[in-house]
Amino acid sequence: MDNKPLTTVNLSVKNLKRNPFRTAGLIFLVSLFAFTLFGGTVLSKSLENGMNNLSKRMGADILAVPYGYEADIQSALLRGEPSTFYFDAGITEKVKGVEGVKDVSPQLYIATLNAGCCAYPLQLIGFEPKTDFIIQPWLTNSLDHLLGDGEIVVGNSINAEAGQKLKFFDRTFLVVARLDKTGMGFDTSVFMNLSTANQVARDSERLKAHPVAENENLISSVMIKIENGYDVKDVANNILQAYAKESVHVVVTKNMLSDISGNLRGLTAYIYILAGVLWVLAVSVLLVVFSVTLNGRKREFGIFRTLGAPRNKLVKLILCESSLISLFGTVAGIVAAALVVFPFSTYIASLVGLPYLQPSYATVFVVAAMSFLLSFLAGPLASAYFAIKIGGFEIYTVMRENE
Amino acid sequence: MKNRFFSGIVAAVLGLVILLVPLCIFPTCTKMIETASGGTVPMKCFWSGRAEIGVGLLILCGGVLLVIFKSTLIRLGISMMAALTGVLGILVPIVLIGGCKMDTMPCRMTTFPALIVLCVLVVAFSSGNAIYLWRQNKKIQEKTNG
Repeated sequence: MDNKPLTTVNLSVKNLKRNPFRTAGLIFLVSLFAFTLFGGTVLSKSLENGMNNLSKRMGADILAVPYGYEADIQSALLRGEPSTFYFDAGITEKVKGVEGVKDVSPQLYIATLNAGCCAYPLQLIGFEPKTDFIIQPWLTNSLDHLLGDGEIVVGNSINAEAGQKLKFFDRTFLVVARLDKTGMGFDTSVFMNLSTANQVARDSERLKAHPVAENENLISSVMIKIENGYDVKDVANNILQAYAKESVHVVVTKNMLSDISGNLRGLTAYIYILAGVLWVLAVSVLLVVFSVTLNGRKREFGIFRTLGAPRNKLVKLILCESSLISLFGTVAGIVAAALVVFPFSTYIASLVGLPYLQPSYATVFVVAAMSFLLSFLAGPLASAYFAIKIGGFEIYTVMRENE
Repeated sequence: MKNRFFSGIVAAVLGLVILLVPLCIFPTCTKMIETASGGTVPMKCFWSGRAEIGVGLLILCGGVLLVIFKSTLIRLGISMMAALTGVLGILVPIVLIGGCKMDTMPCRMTTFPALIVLCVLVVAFSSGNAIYLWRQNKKIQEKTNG
């Protein structure tokens, strides 16, 4: 014998247990909405965060690359996809002479075949520490010296700390620093000075012919910062006009970033539209289900009233039932979304192919709280009208209605 | 009766999925490491995957046993063991064996997160079932004692 007191909550739980399939269905519907809202918002916030980080930390205004490799430099920067494209190193000095150019720094990309840390191709980036303004500002621990021969800096996704050694093409390198999480391709890249990069290219020759091993005077790109007061488009045009014949092409980072943010805006809009449609669907279905079931339960409510339950007890009972459905659905949906979005963040980032950086704990908490509130409101909102209507019925009419 | 089938089937399905994750759903990294002598050996994550197949198999058997046995106390014991096996399943890729060093490797990107999420579900579900069975057993004892 169950001796639980007939409180509103106990009665509601019993009512919900009486129709397990209906209850499970409604909980599933609310959880679907909570899942989409929380998971989708964390996803769009992560992309927004990655985008902001990229635009904040992308030190170069223009990237000079060999003609035909504009897309490759974007893949290397955004996704760390190993790329190999080269032009003459003399371009660096030539570009520096163009009007409006303030700083230039060359970079050399070498893709590994396998590495000691992992048997998958990795992007090795050679840079000039003296002129660099791209890599070094992102270091988690500042270096007290310029990056020397045999020393490397690793991206945040490579699990190696300063002082450890990594092996590429049978040569051991000392990790001297690690980059901050960037949410872009730099997370999976390894950085070294140009002479070390050339050495790596020579080492790789025993496995596969490498253009840099044949000709040390090659680089992959030149990072360009322009003088204040100059228009980036004008400077880019000047570079093109002067050196297009030498197969030099330019990528204006502002345009690249605006392309990405355009994609991002589209994706975010889809997520919010989907969440909105699901919310309307959840409230509508709950509304229909409550209207049907509560009409069918009029006699039950009449008996409650006859047994002495006041009107507000019935209102509370109905609201409590819908709130419990909303509560279970919301918690289930948010937990399920958390189990997908957080553990699989790297996989999601690789699928999306855009800069992806998870927001801070505080932002995640705020998003969770907002999702909880919106999702939880679905149940009580859908049942409020019927709760008030049932509370207003006359006992006699309700009891005789179905006879 | 209902609980017996429900809990057994859920545990068995979770065990089966854990078993299948490293085999075919999200396989571990497939490339081999070349040794100094010129031979090849699988990477660490491969062995983590192997261990997880064993963990999945144990949980699957636990689920089947939950359906077979009627005694509340035996099912309570099986549920507790399944929960602890779930904990073992979490420890294998994180502490006991581990995996590749780069976040973007298949094992770190998909296999381990999937296994950890599934093992967390096993721990939560089996612990919940153990608590439920423990309360059931207490009720039965109270009834028998009068």
